[in-house]
Amino acid sequence: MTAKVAMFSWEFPPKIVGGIARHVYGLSRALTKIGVETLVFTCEFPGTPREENVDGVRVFRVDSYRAPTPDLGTWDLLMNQAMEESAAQVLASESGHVDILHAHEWLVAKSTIGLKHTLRIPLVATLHATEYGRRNGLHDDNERMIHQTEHWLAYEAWRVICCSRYMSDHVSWAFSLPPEKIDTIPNGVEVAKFVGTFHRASFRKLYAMAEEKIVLFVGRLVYEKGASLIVEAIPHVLARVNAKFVFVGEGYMKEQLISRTRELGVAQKAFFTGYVDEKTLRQLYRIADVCVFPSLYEPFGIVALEAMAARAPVVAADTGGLSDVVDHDKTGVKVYSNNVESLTWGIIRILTDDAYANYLKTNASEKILDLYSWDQIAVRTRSVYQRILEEYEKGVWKPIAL
Amino acid sequence: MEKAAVELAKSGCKLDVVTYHDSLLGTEERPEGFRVHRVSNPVRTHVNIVTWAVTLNTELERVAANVILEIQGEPRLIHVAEWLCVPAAVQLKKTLAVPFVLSLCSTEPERSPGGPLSESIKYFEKTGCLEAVKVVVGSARRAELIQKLYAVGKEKLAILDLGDQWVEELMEQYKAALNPRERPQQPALR
Repeated sequence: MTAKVAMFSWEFPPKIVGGIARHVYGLSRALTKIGVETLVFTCEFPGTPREENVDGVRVFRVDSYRAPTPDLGTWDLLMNQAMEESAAQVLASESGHVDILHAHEWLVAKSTIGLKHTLRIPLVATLHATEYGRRNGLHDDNERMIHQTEHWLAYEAWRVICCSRYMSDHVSWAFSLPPEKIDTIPNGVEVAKFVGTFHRASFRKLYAMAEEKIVLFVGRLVYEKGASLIVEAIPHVLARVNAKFVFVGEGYMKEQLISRTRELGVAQKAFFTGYVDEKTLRQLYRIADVCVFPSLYEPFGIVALEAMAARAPVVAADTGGLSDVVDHDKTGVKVYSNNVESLTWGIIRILTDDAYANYLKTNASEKILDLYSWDQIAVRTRSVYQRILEEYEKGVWKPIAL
Repeated sequence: MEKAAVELAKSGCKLDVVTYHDSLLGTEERPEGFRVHRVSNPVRTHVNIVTWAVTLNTELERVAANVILEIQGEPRLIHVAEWLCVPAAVQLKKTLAVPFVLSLCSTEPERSPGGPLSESIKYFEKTGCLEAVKVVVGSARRAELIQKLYAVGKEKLAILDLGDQWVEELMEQYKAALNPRERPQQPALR
């Protein structure tokens, strides 16, 4: 049974806000490659056409600023109104007919639920994160509204996809969803992007001295990503290994972290790069002696996957999705969450044993190809679509020609 | 709206009312010969009236779509009151090709000009006026105002005098709205 799918996402390259754009880009192209015709409805972006074909994926961009709005919630619902109108015209036409609607996140809940009922097409929802998890609770009406919208989407979806076992459990708990309704399919990574040649030595010189090992952190400099734990670990690591700690990313904690490195007397050993472009980031992964991800909350942990694809050994906190990605002592080193001593131990363990680091890198590369390539993820996603279509065929809820 | 529904039903118009209620949910068969379907908002907490209205509209759209899909072989027409139900009407028109008539008893610039949500609400009033086949108002003054505010053509505006003949006049407007020349093209559904 072949399916034709319409995906909805508020971001799609070149509009990249968070991780959803890359996910939808990778998944839609891989689905098309295995014969699942895919349409993507997304927001417009300056300089891009309203309709285009991206490696076989038909992409439709919608005007998302039809009227001034005072906040994100109101903007989102007006954007959904526009997205549903545009999609309705495409999907109600003969060439636009699809079998499945696939929503990515609460931001497209209203439009996809509306289309589900008017066109009577089954809806799948991927929940990449939850408001409860992002905010560590629900503290105001805006957060409660987003949480309830996520709940509404999860309720209306035929099946829900989460990217890690942790997220599946969390979504089941947060929205009182039967676990049987949830499929766990991980995020993917394009391994091919992490190969190719570049002048390693001259690139490395930009970040560290030749005698220094490179400890790399990639992520937002916010509390839940745990960069402050790395800063606290710096003096302890330096007592054993000469290293440079490179922090890639921005966030409200940046000044605080820099200030703390001064207090600890290790400012010259920490390099805060800010945002870097994708090419630079991929090269940074490849020169790193260890990549460290000590998150306190992490729905998936795509950065760990990217590091593994670049053949960099990984130290990760035993938290959320990182727990699925990293197998302790096999594809990386898992350390206790929110624990500087454990983190220090993990970093030193890799930096002082090259053979062990190589063993982890080899295993991690194999795992990436087996489980996290977009081709594999597309096959698993297609099987979710097929299951839904088989159930749908047996039911009475069907479109009616007027 | 209740009075209109009762009078329209008496005049032989087959109708369903889809509306909001927090707890009286489901379908009620009214002795006057029409049905009332009540839905609640699927999202309970909101930051303003626009977010409340738009999420509620998805439920209105769901139930209205079920009603529309039940009707076979008869003309279908939606009548919406105010901007608050415009989102659902527009989507039903785009998806199921059912035309709609819009009643406007007031406009946002009259109610709260310059408010933080005024532009969003005006957007729905304008979209409603553009997408409706007929815009029904209660006075010539309001007709003139809407014409100016939302660039609505005179031929689309109908002034409904609330005299003895108002039901007949409304039925006339419905017939005009159902005129095939003014109906949107039917999409090809499976």
